[in-house]
Amino acid sequence: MSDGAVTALLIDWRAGDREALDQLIPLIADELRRLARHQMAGERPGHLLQPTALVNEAYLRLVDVQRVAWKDRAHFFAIAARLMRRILVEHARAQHADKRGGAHPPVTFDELVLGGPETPEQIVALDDALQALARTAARKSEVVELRYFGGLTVEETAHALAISAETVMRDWKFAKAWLLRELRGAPNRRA
Amino acid sequence: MGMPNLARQQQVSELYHAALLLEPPARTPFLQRHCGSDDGLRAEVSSLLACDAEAADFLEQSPSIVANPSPPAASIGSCIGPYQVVAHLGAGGMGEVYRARDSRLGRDVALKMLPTSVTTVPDRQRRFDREARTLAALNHPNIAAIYGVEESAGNRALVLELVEGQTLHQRIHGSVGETLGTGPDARPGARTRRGPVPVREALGIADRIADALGAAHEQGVVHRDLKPANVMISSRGAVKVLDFGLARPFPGEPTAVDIRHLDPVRSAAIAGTAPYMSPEQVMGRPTDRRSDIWAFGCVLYEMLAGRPAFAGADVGETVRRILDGVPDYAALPGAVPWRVRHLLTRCLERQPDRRQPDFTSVQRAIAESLLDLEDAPIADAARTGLSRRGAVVLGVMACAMIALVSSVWSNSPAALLPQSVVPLTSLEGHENYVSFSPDASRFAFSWEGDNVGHEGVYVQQIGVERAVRLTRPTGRDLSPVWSPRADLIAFVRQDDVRSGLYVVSATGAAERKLVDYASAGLHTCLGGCCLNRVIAWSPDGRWLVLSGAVIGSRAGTFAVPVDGGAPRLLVEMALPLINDHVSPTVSPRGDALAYGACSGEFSCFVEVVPLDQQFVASGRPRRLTALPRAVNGMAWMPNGRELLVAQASVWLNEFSLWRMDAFARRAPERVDVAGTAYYPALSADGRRLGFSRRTFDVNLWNVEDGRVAINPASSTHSDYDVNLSPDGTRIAFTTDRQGGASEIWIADRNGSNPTPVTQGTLSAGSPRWSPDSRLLVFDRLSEDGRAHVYVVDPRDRQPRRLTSWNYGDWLPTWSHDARWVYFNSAASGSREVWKVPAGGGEPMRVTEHGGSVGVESLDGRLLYYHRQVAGSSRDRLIARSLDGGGEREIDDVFNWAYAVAQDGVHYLRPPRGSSAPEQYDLCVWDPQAGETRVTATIAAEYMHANLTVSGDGHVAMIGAVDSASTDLMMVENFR
Repeated sequence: MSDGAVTALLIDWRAGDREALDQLIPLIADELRRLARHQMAGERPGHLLQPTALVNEAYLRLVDVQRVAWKDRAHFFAIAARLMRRILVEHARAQHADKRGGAHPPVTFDELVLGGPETPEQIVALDDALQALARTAARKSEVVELRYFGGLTVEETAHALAISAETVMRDWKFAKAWLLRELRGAPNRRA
Repeated sequence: MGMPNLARQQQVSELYHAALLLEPPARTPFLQRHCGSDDGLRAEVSSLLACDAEAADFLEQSPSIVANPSPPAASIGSCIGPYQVVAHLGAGGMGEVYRARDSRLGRDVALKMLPTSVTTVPDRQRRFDREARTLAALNHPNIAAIYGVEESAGNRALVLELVEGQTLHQRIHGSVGETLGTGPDARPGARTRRGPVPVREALGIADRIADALGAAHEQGVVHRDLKPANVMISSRGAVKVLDFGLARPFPGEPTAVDIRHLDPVRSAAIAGTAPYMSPEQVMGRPTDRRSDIWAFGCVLYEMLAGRPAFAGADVGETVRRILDGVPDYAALPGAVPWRVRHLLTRCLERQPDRRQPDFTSVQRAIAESLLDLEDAPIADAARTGLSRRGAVVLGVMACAMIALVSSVWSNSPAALLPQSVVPLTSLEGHENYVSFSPDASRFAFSWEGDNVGHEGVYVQQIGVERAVRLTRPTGRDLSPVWSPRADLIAFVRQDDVRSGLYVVSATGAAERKLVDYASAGLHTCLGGCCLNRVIAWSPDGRWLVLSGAVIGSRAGTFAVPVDGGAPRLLVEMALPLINDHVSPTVSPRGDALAYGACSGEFSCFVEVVPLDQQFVASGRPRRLTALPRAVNGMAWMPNGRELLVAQASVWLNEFSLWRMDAFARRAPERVDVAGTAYYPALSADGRRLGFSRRTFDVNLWNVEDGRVAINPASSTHSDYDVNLSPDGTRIAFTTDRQGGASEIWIADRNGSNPTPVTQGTLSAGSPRWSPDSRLLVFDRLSEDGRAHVYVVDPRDRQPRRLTSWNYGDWLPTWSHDARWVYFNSAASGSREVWKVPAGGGEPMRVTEHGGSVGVESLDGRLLYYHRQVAGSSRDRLIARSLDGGGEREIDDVFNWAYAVAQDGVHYLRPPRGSSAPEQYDLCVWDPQAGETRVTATIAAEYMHANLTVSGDGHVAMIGAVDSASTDLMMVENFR
């Protein structure tokens, strides 16, 4: 995968070529998975790896950083955030299933276990709650996806979603409270 | 299922934010006041407020993954207990299905006996077991559960949830499907609603199917046999997807349907499945989750149309239709929203990579469609009249690439002489969408003024400095157009979600909304405004033309009666090729409409369609342009034969005006207005031309002993990457003043005598003077998108490449003794600082653990570079001793904005807040003292990563602080 191809696809995509996005997604996903595996190889258990660092690394590897505009960076990270969420949740669900003595689905992230402050169950629950949020407030859920799973800044998020930074901050604040309440299982839920 | 209730959500959100502004004790009374008797609303907001404090830190840290290779889980035991077969239910995709009673739990289950092809081959059996277990973990309300696998006397059976109800196939066609249809509703004579499923109900069912498949895909499970017969609607309306993944053929088994050699048995077996097979499945190519997307599209189509998307008299014909055709979208009821049609085209895309990527996006489209359904309906007459025309348009599009009217995108010198261009406005911020009053004495435009994020419609007299705001700052009031009768100004009001078409009197009175609509979706942000021009008046002032709108179930360009009444479609978007209409303009006699038909922000074609006396499109749209360009604004010339079009290409993101023959008899001519121009407007007599111009963007700034001032070298073009020669006499910089790719220029220190040094077709940048101030190093992009490093003598202008490899090298700098050139390269697989002898030779790696843009101190003892902090977008400036010492982190730095002087390294520290314009600190770090001091603070909307300092450290130049502004310009006596 040459730097140039992804850079060019990013530029094409921004230029409105939607096929470019379809080509970009697998490239970025592959690179994220490859990086994760590579970094894990030979590491002792307990080594911490941050997904947002992976996203950054993938960006540096795939994209001719100097030649794309700041906006393209935001777009790249937006795609990567979505993929990172999927990879994490896939993996968390797999772990979750393992713990229940259940299935071992064919996910490709076998080397990784979620840990630290988040248990697989919590990641899955967060993902479920995000999906629930998306049903009534899709944009707010996207803001969380980009900020949390992709490590985008407020400005980058604003750009990626074509909204103002102020709106991003409001959405972020609201979504966090909403998600926390959902995850706590507060009795007062929407019908 | 709960319908998404957007208005409710917005209400909750608004109350929540409003309450947060109050002290906690005041919140309860506030909510009581505003929620009235709506206890649910009050409880919802209070429960959110209760979480607010704790939520402050929630999700603020990115998630972590711990490496802990764990052994695969042990296989679970599949002992479930005895089942008593009660009845034979039918034949499923893989075997006979029975109703059975679980005597232990006292419930009925479905038992599916598996064929020997599964049970006799060990490899397949393992695979089957694994899939069964995976499915068992798919705990989803819309997936019929698998309880386990039972084995007895050499037979294997799947134990499945028994779903009572009817299949979707039965719901649509009334006939009995082939799978688990059972229960009272399946019996003949029971509730028999047949035929197409009403749109809302169909979307509800589709949403559940998508949710189920999406969850399965997340687990790596592909259904591969989704069809209406595999979807159960229970007697209570619950949706269950059946036969998950198990019907899938195992690898090695032929899946291709050879339509020449179909044997009768196989033909019968796939008869029920064939209409839902994806093209790749039919051709025997590998299938994956995208095949499910296709099948989902088939099911959704069938629900809405009441008949399969692809079905022939026999399997052979069905297969041919799948491979050759597109479904008959005209067979969909008129009530099917535009977004659903769009979704169908995206799911039923023959190329798997072009399909809707996943079910999350499918569900989003469904949710949005449900919102669309709440919109006002369109006049029926228009709908029936136009759907036929829409079909014709699609047909025309297919031939468009052959039958294109010729058009030339020419960089040749303009045929028209430049005319005197004067500013109409020079306000702060962005003024856009100039529109003249009929007598051309006044003009309307959009501007934020003091209300950031809330553009208003302003009116100003030509030659008078004062602009008057007509509309209140509630949303974003964009794209104003003055009516030909002079009394009204039409505009679009947008908030985050919705758009509305409004008119207001030219004095600011009697504002009224004509129609609510959804914007078609492309965001074109130019000069601060993220909406293309979308409105035009008919010459008689009776109609408004609104482009790029989704109203009800249709998308395209609409005619909206000014005196009230339903909007009607003028030109439908030719999906899926075209997904936005922009920049409409009506000919002076009202007999033709021109607009931009776009598939992307930079992929628009100018089209013209004739209009009849009833203001109805009376022919096929004709394309005037062959190449995809951004189209931002068009105006019809008073002669009725020519159009003025603002266009830009993605490679040359500069808008320029083109005069085009409306009948495409001549090549377009460029109109020289001495700079960029977009959103053009003409006065009625055509003598005055108005347009928007971005006044640039990027400039050079000097910081001299703490004072910040613009560098006289700055032009109206983008000048950046400035580098001051060590002898202090000259600057080198990157500029686009030649109008094409960026190039390296040099000038005297004060900006006089600017001279180009490089000439090429691909961007050059990052010039750095050699220590003796005679040579420059720079980088240039190559055809394949990677950059290379060059050295050039500005006197002979013959660049020489320094490295022969092709890893992407950029941002070169000189060593203090000019013997080496440092640069950035990915040659080792990660971004590191490398160096190469300045006279050419073998490159050597300098940093080992990531590093970018090495800059040597003037005494050659330290190397400064930067590195990104893992997990963030922050960069740290690092100093390393070249005598073999270690690294030392200095501070956060804005990209590679650092440069060395005698007093240490000068650098820009990035802003911490999120305010715009942002504050950058200019700092200097003294290596002797190990201390940083701030020498100046610079506010910038947009900073280029570049800094240069004089040797004594007193003068710094920053490449490009951006003060983006858009002004309205005018050409008098336009010809």
